[in-house]
Amino acid sequence: MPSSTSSSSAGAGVRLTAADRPGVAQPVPMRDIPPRPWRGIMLVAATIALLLVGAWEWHWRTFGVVAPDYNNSNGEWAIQRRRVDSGDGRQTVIVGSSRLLFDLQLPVWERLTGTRPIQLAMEGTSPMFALEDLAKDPHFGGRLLVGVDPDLFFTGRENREGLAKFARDETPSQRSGEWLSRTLLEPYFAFYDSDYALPTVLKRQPWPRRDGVRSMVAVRKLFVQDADRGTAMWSKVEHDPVYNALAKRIWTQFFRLPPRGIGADSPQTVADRQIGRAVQAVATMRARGVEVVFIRSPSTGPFLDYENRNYPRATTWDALLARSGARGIHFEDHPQLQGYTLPEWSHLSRSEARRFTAALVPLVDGTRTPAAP
Amino acid sequence: MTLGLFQKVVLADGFLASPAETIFDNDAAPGALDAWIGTLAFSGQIFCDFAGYSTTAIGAALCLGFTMPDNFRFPYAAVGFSDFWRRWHITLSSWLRDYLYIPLGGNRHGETRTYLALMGTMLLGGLWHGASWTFVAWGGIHGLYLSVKRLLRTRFHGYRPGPLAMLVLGLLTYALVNITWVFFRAHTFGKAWQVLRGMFGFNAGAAPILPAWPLLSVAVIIGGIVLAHAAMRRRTLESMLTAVPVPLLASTWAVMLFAIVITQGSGNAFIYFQF
Repeated sequence: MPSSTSSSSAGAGVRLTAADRPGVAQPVPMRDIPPRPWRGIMLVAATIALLLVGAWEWHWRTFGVVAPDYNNSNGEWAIQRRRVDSGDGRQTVIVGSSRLLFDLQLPVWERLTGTRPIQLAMEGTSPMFALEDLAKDPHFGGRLLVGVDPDLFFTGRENREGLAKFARDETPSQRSGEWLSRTLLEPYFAFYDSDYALPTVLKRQPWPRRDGVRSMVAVRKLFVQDADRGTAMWSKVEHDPVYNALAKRIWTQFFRLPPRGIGADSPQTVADRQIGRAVQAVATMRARGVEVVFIRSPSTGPFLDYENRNYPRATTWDALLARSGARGIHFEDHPQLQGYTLPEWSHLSRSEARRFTAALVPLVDGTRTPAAP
Repeated sequence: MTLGLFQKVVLADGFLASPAETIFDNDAAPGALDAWIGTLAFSGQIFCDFAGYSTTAIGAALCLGFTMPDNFRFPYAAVGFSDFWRRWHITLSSWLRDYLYIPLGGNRHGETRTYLALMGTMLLGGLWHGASWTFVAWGGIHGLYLSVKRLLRTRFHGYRPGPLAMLVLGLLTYALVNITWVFFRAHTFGKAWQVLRGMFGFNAGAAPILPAWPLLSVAVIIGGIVLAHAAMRRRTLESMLTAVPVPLLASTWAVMLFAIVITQGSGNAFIYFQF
């Protein structure tokens, strides 16, 4: 090796750095490439890596994962959100949690109305942030459908914080990363899903339990998504009994929890606060002609029991409509929104979601209200 | 570049970030095991994040025909704190030495001035990381370590540790560095004290926090990092690559590439981008 190595205080065989030469300018570094058959090594390494990736892809496709299935990333949400500000501000926009995300089928809506809504619902997250974000946005003058999943809407719980800010501030490198992912990976690779990332897969192995640790089983993959966030339940949830039982078991964990307050605030106080936020946002939007429709999609079985127990309709849904003055569509009020199959009690299967959407469209159109003066 | 991306995507983001977040970003007081695993996880995360970033940059520059200096030299095998700072974030530590420590007097104006220069340099070095007193505390403790080490070296001038003593002193250095990482990672002094109390066994009756898998994965990864640093203490990556059999080199490279792909990095920014 040339003078890039030294027997100074750093020891023999160690390259000199600025740390070895106090007060002296950074030494000019030298990096000799070790004399190895690099071309062959790279070829073999790339081949083995490709074979391993191929085997990994095959494994997950055998499990039932499909491609294309776009990631429900912050970047994908941001792309849809920015449509409101770039010419689509008069469109129907959907905010909500997982139910309107799964249950409202964009192709059916488009076929029946001639326009494809902008899907901004986000699973596991109260739509309040999006409601308030759109209320502040003068570009938005269309119609807003707000999904009300009681456990999220009336608690304000958010699984993704800072989404609205992310959509505004997304950096060029984040945007280009998103573009590369949407263009080169998500349409082709089934394994490219956060549920099947190596750390997640290892974490979900049946490791021995550590006594005293309170942990809940994380919600598994439940849906597949199109490039514009059109979403439907993953067929495995519907057709694989083992996976379906797992999905139900995971929901059951939540049913045992007491109603969630925040700090010293009772659950009803928290719900009232969320309703107050919604009322304010609705008033702002209605003042500029935006029509807001709240939608309570179906749930069933133990999930519905849990919701009725913890979020009684009279003090949540009815109060929301009374205070906001907005129209609402509750599945219990319309026979055509009842009697659907919900494989894991909370969301409609793809075929049922199509039927539900077809039944919902005339109701939404029928509830159109004149804008506030 | 593969090595750097493996450190960042797989080790730092994939396996070490979450246990550290669980301990440092929650209100629950950790017991000794949880506090140590959370802190060790952060020690590995910040090294793999920053050294991974530096290694990737060195590799990218090499591909373009530029040679960049080392920024890390297997720091968790350091024996003593001046050794640690010759191995950790070398570009910053050298800058601090040349543009703060030496202008402040360095070691040429008597003992008192030397200790003041050391403490001043490290306090400002801490503040460089952000406008938070926890960073100042982190720098202050490192300044204290360097001062104590200097004092001991003066007191025991001529002492040459044997292999066993080197091992013990190396582990002690790493343990003490971990104490400083608590202040670096915690957002408040309250949280830092809570974790430190846990590390020293004063959170009696604390409920276990981390499940078995993060305990195991952090122990394996951190053990691997420390052993690798010990083995590479007086070597360069290039000298190691020269000695490794070709089949092992090719298969290790392949496994690292595979792990990077299937870990599916989620686009987490480098920790040091915030400083």
